[in-house]
Amino acid sequence: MQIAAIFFTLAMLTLLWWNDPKRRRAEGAPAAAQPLTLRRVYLIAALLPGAVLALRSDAAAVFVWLGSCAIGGWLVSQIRTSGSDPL
Amino acid sequence: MIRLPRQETKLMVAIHGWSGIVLGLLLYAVVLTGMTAVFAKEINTWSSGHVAQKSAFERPIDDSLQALAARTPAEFHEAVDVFEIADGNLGLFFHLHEAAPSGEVIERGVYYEVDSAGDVVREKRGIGEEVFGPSNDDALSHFLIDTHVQLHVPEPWGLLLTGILGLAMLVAAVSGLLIHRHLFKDIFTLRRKASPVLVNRDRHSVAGTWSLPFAFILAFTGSFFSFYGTVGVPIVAMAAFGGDEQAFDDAVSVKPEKPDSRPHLTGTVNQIIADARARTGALPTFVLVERFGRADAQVTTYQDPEPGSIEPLTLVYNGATGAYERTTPSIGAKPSLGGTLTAIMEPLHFGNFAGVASKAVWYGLGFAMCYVTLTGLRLWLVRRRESIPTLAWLERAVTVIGFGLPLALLTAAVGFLCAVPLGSAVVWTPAAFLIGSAISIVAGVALPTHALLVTVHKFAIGGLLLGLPLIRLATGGPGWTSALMARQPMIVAIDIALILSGVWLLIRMITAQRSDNTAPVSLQPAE
Amino acid sequence: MSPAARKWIRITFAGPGAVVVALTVMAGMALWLPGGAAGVDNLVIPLVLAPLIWAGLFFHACLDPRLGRIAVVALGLFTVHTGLLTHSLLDPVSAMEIQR
Repeated sequence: MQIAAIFFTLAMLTLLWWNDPKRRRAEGAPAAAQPLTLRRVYLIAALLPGAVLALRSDAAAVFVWLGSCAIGGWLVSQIRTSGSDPL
Repeated sequence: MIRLPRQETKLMVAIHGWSGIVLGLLLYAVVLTGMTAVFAKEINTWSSGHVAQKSAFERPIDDSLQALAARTPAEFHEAVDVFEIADGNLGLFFHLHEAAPSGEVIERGVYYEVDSAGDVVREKRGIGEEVFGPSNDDALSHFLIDTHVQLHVPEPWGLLLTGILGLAMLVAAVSGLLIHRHLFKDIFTLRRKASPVLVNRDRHSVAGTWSLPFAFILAFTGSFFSFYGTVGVPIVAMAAFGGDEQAFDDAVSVKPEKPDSRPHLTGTVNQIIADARARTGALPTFVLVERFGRADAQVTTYQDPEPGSIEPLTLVYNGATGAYERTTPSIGAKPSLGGTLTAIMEPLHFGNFAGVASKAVWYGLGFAMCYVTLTGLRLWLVRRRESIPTLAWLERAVTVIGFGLPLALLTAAVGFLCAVPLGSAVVWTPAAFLIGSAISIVAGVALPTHALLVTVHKFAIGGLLLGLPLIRLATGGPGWTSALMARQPMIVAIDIALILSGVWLLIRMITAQRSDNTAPVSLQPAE
Repeated sequence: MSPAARKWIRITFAGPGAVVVALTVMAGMALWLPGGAAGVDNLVIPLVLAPLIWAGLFFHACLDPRLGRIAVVALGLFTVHTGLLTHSLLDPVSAMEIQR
């Protein structure tokens, strides 16, 4: 359940990343045809697994989910920046 | 995200920048060693080279306890700490509590280490600080933890220093949140082909945004731990008990309802551990025997949290009869808000509430926070690079510490592995750390260009990462087959992690394109 | 009041002031917080909250545009908790009764 929650949220974050307007502008990519409403749906969907785990009173799973998604989101944002030295 | 007036924004930027540049390098040292210390127990298993098949708590303990009690002065039977140490050995600390001249409550007694055959391999008398020093087998993990907790500065100054660094991190996290107007809009934006200021700013803010909640949690819990014993307990004890810290300890711990000092054999620990295991599904992580040899003896077993919870479990038993009495909070006799808040500080800081899964997440977040700290320092320097050329020394210092500290930790591991068979790891682990640090500092002074300094450090780190598993094997450590047969997959896992990290770093270096960041740098207001 | 004086007053409240007031509040909270179900809340909750109390005072001193309000909050908290502590030290018996 926890692993599924993490992967689902990461999938939503990846969708948000792919169509992020500022990221696309900064990389010179054409604007994505993704309405704001859809982005909000993805955002709520990304948070849903955490809410479900919290409602099940699974504090450990909530923290592992939150931390995994924080790391995953950071790693997702690194995609397509290879070639630049991070430090 | 939060719209502050311009003046306040400028002030927050100044506070964020200056707290970072003044304390950032020390904070980086604390966070890096903390990140590594998350896996201190696993690093201990990996580095000590022993492959104990059974936990010490799976073996009978009562005979050892009785034999050691017979040779220990009765004054030290007030309490006995029982815990597992390297290679499945058992540590037993018979002690009493007394007030030091400063008023602080200290533990004084006799510490024994007992091997799987029941033989005493080490005996030491003194107070807690003295007897729990590093041994040959755990010198590396001990060194990591001591660096993180107090930067090897003597108590209480080291704890106060790390406590202040925790508050600085708290300030940086909150001020960073307040000054970043488009926190979520910028969360995926990492510009590559932009000025050095924007490139570093993006790296810093993206990593900082993603790790912000945990930066707050770790800063807050870290400063709690640092200030708890040094400042907090003395002050609250002064207010509530006229300065009597023993009275504070007594108030927060569970005492017997009716003291009964009649002699009674305390020979039930084996039975108690078995019962605790049956109730919780796991062996204890720590056992405390209080009032050993008395009719009112109490045995408390400390367990990992139940699945789904982050609060550790504490089971209380009658030491004379072995009967289970209750499951109690770590603090206080009944569940309470204060007890729960205090009890969750440790799992939230150590990340040890869900086994390897939570530790891995906390390790990753620690890495993100190291990255945030270093990119923040780089950002501060890059903004001022052209207008203040004399800051070149600071840029080098950031690189020397940023890369030199991981390098020195790796040389400490090399020193440990080479010295363990010789029995001198306690000396050579910190010595190797200092040697690695010195090499890094000399390189920082001697190498002609900053780019070369970075390259040399990265090659050295990559080489050591790849070499450590080989050094471990060459110095007598178990091979992968032996480790797996002894049910110690962590030895293999850490070897693989080191090899993959080394390969990744070296490949990145070989294929990295140096970006030509020649865009003009302009100062921002109030920075 | 000159801008320099205002700046130094703000620095005083954000720096040493926040530390002193936070420590005083932490000590004083042990006297007025209820003990809770286990009788320990008044002892441990101040320890847990201390870093947050300091951070709250620090950021309030930095961000509140009104210096007077900063002084009222900090000095008010300091005065109340110092009073409680003084009362406890001078009259421990009735202080314990109040706490119960």
